[in-house]
Amino acid sequence: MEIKARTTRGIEVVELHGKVVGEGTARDRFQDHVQMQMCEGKRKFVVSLGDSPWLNSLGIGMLVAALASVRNRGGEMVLASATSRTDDVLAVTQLHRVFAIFDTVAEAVDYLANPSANLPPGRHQQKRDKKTMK
Amino acid sequence: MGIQVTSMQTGGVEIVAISGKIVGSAQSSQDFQELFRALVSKGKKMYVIDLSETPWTNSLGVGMLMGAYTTVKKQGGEVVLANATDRIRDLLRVTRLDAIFSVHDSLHSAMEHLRNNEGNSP
Repeated sequence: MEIKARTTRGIEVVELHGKVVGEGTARDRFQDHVQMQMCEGKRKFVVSLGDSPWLNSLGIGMLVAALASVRNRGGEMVLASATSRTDDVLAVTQLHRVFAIFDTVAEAVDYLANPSANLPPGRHQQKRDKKTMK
Repeated sequence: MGIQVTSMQTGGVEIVAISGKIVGSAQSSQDFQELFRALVSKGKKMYVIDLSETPWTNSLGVGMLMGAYTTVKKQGGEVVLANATDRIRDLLRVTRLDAIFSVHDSLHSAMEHLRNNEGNSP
């Protein structure tokens, strides 16, 4: 898994490339990146999964661990561009009740950039993937 | 593993007890995952993770629990938590994972919940 990151409108966009299998090294690199960005004051993250063909249960654990770190510090992390296979996993595990999921990175950034989306628990808007679910 | 994990079956429910602080090291996460994969491959569907001997967990530990949860759900099973401390409950609430994790005050209540919902899993 490769990590590419950029900042847009103050929001950290983290692209994951390759299978998100969440084994030790990948998970630690991802977690370290998120922690480092938070040390620099960032609190809003978009994780783009468009170039990740699938993720396994450890990959889910990796995303949730990062989400927990971010929300624990009053921030928010959302997902974008999930493939239909990834979306199936998110649906089966009901993680769409935990993560906001957007069709595109641009929509995710718009959501986080909106000050009214300053994210107290419960103010959690969701947009489900429009792709047909199996 | 840094934590002690024991599992036993009672009344059709697999009880996985964790003792020690769950800090979710890479190795313990993978070991924990392997345990669940092995149990799921034996056709076990209903799980309680007993946290009575777990004073707290961090974000990586939460990720570890979610990894196991995912393994079980993908096979149409169900996993709930029992005896979580207030500290762990707070972390689940802040992360909103309490929306998907059913947390119970006792093993008895957790097992009742699973039995009552048996067959309702996707």
